[in-house]
Amino acid sequence: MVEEPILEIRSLHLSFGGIKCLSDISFDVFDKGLLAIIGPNGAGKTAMLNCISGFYRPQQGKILFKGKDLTRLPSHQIAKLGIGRTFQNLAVYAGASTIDNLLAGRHFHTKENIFAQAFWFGPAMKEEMKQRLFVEEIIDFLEIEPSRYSIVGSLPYGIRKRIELGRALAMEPDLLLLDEPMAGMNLEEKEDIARFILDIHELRKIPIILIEHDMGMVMDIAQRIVVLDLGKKIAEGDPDQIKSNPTVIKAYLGE
Amino acid sequence: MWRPSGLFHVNYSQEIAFVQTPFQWVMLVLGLFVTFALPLFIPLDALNFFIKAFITITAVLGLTLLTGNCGQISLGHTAFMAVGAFVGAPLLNQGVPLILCLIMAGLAGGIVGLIFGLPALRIKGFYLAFATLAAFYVIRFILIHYFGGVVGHNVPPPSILGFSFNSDFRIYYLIASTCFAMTYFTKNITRCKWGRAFIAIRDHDIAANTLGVNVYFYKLMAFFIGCFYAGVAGLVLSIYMGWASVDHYSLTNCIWYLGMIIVGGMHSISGAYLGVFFILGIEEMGIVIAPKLAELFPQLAGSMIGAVPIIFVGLVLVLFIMIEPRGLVHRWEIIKTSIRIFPFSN
Ligand SMILES: Nc1ncnc2c1ncn2[C@@H]1O[C@H](COP(=O)(O)OP(=O)(O)O)[C@@H](O)[C@H]1O
Ligand SMILES: [Mg+2]
Repeated sequence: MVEEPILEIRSLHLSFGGIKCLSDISFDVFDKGLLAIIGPNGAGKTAMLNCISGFYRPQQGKILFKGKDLTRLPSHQIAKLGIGRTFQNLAVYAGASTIDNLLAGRHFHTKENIFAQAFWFGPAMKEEMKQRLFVEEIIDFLEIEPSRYSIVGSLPYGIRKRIELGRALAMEPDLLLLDEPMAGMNLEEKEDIARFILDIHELRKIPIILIEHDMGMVMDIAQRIVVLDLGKKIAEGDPDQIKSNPTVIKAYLGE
Repeated sequence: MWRPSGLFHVNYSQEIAFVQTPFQWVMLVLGLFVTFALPLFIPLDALNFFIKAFITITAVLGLTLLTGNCGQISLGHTAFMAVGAFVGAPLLNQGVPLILCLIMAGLAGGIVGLIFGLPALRIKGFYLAFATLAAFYVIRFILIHYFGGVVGHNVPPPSILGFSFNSDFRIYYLIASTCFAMTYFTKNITRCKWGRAFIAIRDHDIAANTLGVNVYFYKLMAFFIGCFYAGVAGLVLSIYMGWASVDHYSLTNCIWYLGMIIVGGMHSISGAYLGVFFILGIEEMGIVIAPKLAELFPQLAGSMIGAVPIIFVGLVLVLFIMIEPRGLVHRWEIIKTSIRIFPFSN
């Protein structure tokens, strides 16, 4: 296997009105890789993802995805290039059904013409069927069949997290950004999510950037780990290297 | 709609179909039949009530898409209706075919709506409400000063293939058909990619971006489509009135329209129908009761006649927002579910 970086972060600087949020961050995500970003609260992990998805504009540095710089692109175009993501604070469409949430993830794969469509649903019907079949497969995969038609706002937290993950998967992304997908879950729910993440990574071969607080979980599933603290990258390596890295231990345990 | 237990779809196309059960087919055909036979059986005032209701539904369906589905509040909806009327009426006068006039009225409403929707790219909620309120007055000003003034335009009875819509009785058919056509369009828009993009923007615009939804584009399109409905409804109203005047398109109506989607249940077609009939019904009741109240309180009689219907509607709105903010459709869903799972409901 040739190690080819799909995402390259090059000396990224981000500040908000004088307050440095990220300084000089560089790392690569390799094709088929599972990279975890860890670090204490406020370290800048979410800010890092927001730079990748185009919500924050870094003052310096480059983000190359498949060789293309993302730092000046609007976020919906970044999504179209193949970057899917989930949010630390749930961002599902609470007022729509599970099916519609997932179908929304098929947005730019769905070929429909509004004018023809408004008059005659016929041609669009075929397209809807196609998308629906795709989405059904994700529903099976995430084991959310019973909630298929439920309004998402009425479902339990753990299920909603899964639906958000499913929505990102429906995009058929080439890179998946997961911001604390297990936050606020009990052990059993966490294990379910970990299983889904591993399946996505191993069976669907989608490279993943995972932000997670649960150290045990990260050490178990990540191939590479980047450690951020106060906006700086303080370490990078495989789980064993990180476990024994003195700087990391200091950052987590304090002096 | 009614979906009894024991109904199972064997494929997805049935699930998103317009009509899902034989029962619904029967209801649809029956509904259409009743609607079109109605004028033969009811007195003229009742007919006028239905005409008003169908025009209002046409306009409110636009608001259902714009506000209910896409989450962009608009306090200027009647202004876009006026635009449709002021563009369509002169065209009708010049003998342009009716269908073309309706489309032009819709496009005019849509384009002006899109322009005044531009602030939505920057602001939300309360602030957007104020921007659209400003739009209402700006459009009114422009129409009065540059497009025919307070006098407005005379609207001749239009005709299709020699059939002239020259009486309320005949106009009813024009208006009901327009309303049903627009309802069908609404259904088609909400069950495809566009409807989902609108909901995505309403529920979480940041997340919508990460799915590749161009939020700016779809917000403007929601304004365009929503105001297209307004333009069509505006022209149809002026045909009914025989006259296009800015006074037919009041700010009070803008607010009532929002009230109607709140009472009905924001984002659904049935909600628009229920809300319109409910609010107009309450208003009618106010109109009937007002003179009786005036007899009881003679000293207030002068102000009573106009105020009572407004107070009635206002009261109903406040009650709905407090007790059933999700609207009549939601209540109906609850009842339907409990019937379906009877006797296990509580
Ligand atoms: N939009 C913003 N404006 C100002 N400061 C921000 C903004 N977003 C993040 N920050 C700051 O950047 C730092 C990193 O935040 P964040 O990326 O959310 O941390 P975490 O690693 O916990 O996800 C915090 O100190 C936060 O206050
Ligand atoms: Mg965070």
